[in-house]
Amino acid sequence: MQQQSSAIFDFIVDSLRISNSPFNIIDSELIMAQCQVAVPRTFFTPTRIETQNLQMVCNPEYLGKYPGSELVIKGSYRLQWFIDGIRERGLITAGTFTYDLDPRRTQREIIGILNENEHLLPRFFFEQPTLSYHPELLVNFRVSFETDEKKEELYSLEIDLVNGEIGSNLQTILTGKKLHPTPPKKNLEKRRIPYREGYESLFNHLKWQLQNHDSSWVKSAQNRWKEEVQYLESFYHGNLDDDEDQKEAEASFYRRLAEGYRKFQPMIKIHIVNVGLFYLPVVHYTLESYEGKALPSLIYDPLRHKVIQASIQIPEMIKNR
Amino acid sequence: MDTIQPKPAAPRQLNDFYPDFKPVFEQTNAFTDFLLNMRHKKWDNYDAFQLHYLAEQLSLSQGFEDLLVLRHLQEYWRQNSFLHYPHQIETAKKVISQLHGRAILADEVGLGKTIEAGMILKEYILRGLVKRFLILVPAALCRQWEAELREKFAISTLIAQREWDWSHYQCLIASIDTAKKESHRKEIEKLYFDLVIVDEAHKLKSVQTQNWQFVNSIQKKYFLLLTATPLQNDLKELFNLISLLKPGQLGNYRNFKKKYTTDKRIPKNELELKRILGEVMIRNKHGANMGFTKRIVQNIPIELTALERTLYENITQFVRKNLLKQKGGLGTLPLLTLQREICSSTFAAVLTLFKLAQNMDEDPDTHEEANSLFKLAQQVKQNSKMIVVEELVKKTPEKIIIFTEYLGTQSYIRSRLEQAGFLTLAFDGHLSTSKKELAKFQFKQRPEYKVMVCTESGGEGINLQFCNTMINYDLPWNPMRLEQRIGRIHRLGQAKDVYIYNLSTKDTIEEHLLRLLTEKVRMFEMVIGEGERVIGKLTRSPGRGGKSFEGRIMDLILKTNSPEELNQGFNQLGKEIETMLQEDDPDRDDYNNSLKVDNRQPDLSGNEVK
Repeated sequence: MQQQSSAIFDFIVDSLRISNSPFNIIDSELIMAQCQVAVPRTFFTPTRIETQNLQMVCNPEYLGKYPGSELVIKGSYRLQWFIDGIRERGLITAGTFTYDLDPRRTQREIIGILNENEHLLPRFFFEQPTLSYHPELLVNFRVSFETDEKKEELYSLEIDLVNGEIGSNLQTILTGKKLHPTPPKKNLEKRRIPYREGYESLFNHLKWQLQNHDSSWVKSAQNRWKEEVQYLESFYHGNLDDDEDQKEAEASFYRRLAEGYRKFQPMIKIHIVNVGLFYLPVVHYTLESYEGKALPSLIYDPLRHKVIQASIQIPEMIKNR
Repeated sequence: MDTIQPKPAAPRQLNDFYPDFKPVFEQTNAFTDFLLNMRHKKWDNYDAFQLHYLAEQLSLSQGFEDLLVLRHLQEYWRQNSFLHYPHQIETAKKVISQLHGRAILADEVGLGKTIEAGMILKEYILRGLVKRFLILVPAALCRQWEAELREKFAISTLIAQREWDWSHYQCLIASIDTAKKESHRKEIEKLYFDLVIVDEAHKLKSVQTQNWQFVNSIQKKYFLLLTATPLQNDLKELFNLISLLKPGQLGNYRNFKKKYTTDKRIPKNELELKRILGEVMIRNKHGANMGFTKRIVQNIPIELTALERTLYENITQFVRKNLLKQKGGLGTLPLLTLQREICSSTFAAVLTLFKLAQNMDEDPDTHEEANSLFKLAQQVKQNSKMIVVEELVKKTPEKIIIFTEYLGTQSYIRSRLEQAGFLTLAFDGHLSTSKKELAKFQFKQRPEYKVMVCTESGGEGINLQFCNTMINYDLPWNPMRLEQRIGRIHRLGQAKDVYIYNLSTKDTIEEHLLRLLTEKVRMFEMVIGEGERVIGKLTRSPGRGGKSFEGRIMDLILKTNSPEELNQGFNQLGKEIETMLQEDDPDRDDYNNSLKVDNRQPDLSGNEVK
């Protein structure tokens, strides 16, 4: 509860900040803000802008301490008001996670990662690394699982537009990171996959994920639907005396059946929340083994702290020694 | 989404109809919209991007355990001083999480069925499950619904009046009479509604009616029926109502009849029936802790003038004589009406007498008698009750609502009060919807209108909590209608104690009736709603032929020849009531009542919150 109210508090403060609304925070408890509110077009054409003063607390305990303040909690009108406002913003963004390539530090980072698995300890020399930036398309989806009930989940998927690798952790990894708003001036890898194609791959991947998703919600809807059909059967079956009535009942039965099916039919609605284009650093090493044998290149992803390929190639190498 | 085409199949097997119960994917927005802005490099900053994601996280729709509507409207309700009650929240929760949005809300009068329906509607809207909805109500209640949804739930609706409205607006309220007209019906049947609410749903009790067939033909996902009286005369009515909501819940009618009814009024297998009904119906009852203010009742006995007395007695004799003739003559209905009218006022009776005097088909003696009664009635220039009413209006500082059963009495009351310098408003079934709204608005907002004179047909379903004084100029013979009258002002939301003045003329049926209600039934001492259970006992008890309360009163009039006998008859009825009220275990009795039918409302629901 405490955690949730502080998350909402931070959300409101951030919303006010990015919308450039003047605000004051008192004792980390009360937010006093001045917002510009558009009065709906229904009443004014063009839309009229009015200034609204808000005093908000996010913890019910503070209501008494700040009389006249408004309680903003999950599900409240005011929170929804901010949410609706913020939904107009941040639909697309671009940014670069800059990486300062210092060969010694990078080498230490890689060894640190490989040390976690002792048997993978390097048996090779680090040559001079090269840095490049890969464009990655990140798409956040809101997925609604709907029958006569509804639940929602957020999915986040990204694709490397150079090599086509798909991942699902970029959104989390980027949280709290500093990004530079413009693309890198040098070392930018040219994207080989167009945006649309990249998106299609993500969408298909999401569909594949959802097809393997927990299907208990479908099963329980199907059970409710079966029950409905049984009721309809018991209502219409043998209820009528003459053929004419029977025909009418048959038509009514099918109509009801279709109506019921529409109610219970499981739907997965996919809504794109926002799309980001991020330029992320990749460090390449050309490797040479102690025996002087050339090895496949090692790729280090400093943002995800991940050594790519090396983890696959190195055991082979050790085996061959 | 693809249109569903059910396959004709025999024998009917679920898998034959819809073998595929796999989720259908639907994309609700297109990547192209984003792509266009990406190509134009209209990037927003990264903080906004992350905040947008966080906003989505905060607004994700989860399970139904908690109602969003409470938190969403908490501040709005606080600012508008709107109170909701625990039973309303429980009902909304249950309808959404357990009954999956299909239910009969059958709360007793004044407990806020509209509020419950509003909560459910708003909850579904907030969760994105309802976008297109339709509320079907009697014409007189359209504006009231529109105002309640706007003021209490911040839901804007349109009152549909043109054929064009149906497909062009999503949030609609309509009079059921307008909606069922052929031209409107055609439009409505083309649409699929996420939620349909029908108020005063007891009007859908017969399958043969246009109302039932029309509502049955609407395609809908969630469905709420609102009525305080889901069952009035016949168990079949309840079956029909449930068949509309969830056909087959009670099987087909043959099986239902065989399994659950002894005769049309008396059920069997009550426990099982009650359990099944609990799956579709919720009925909250009045209880001591519901938050009602006090009800202060004063009965005012009134002495008739000599002329009024003569007229009353002559009419009573005339009615009795003609009813006992049993063949030919005047017909039962006008005579019953006449007897009731003369209990209300001479001005109500005069029109019926005039019609009877004009009727040339009857035998000459009767014709002559009716004529002389009409002439006698014309001589009465004022009613004794009115003097008391004028005094009450003068000494009461607050607004007053006066109820009568008859239009003749209504006009008389109004003209007398206006002569005495009080501006009055009429509220009856003849007023158009907009005039009713205007009358309500004027009564509420304009201080100069102190009195509203209302007939029962006009007053159905209206809420007048801002007024706390009621004068019953006459008493309806059906005690439930008295409850309905009081329910207009004594309901949740009434902030002040409620004053009810009952006028009864001495040595008339009214006096006996009032005594019966006050002393034996203890109707006015009860919290609103309890009266239903008591009256129910009288009419459902074996050996009473299932006669309505009104029928029993009329019997007394017919079978007694003198005031003493009448008095004895009422005393006897009173004793029966007392015995009946004392003899049974209250819980058991209440339960039994809930499963039997009469002309008032039993509780058949397993979902009662008392």
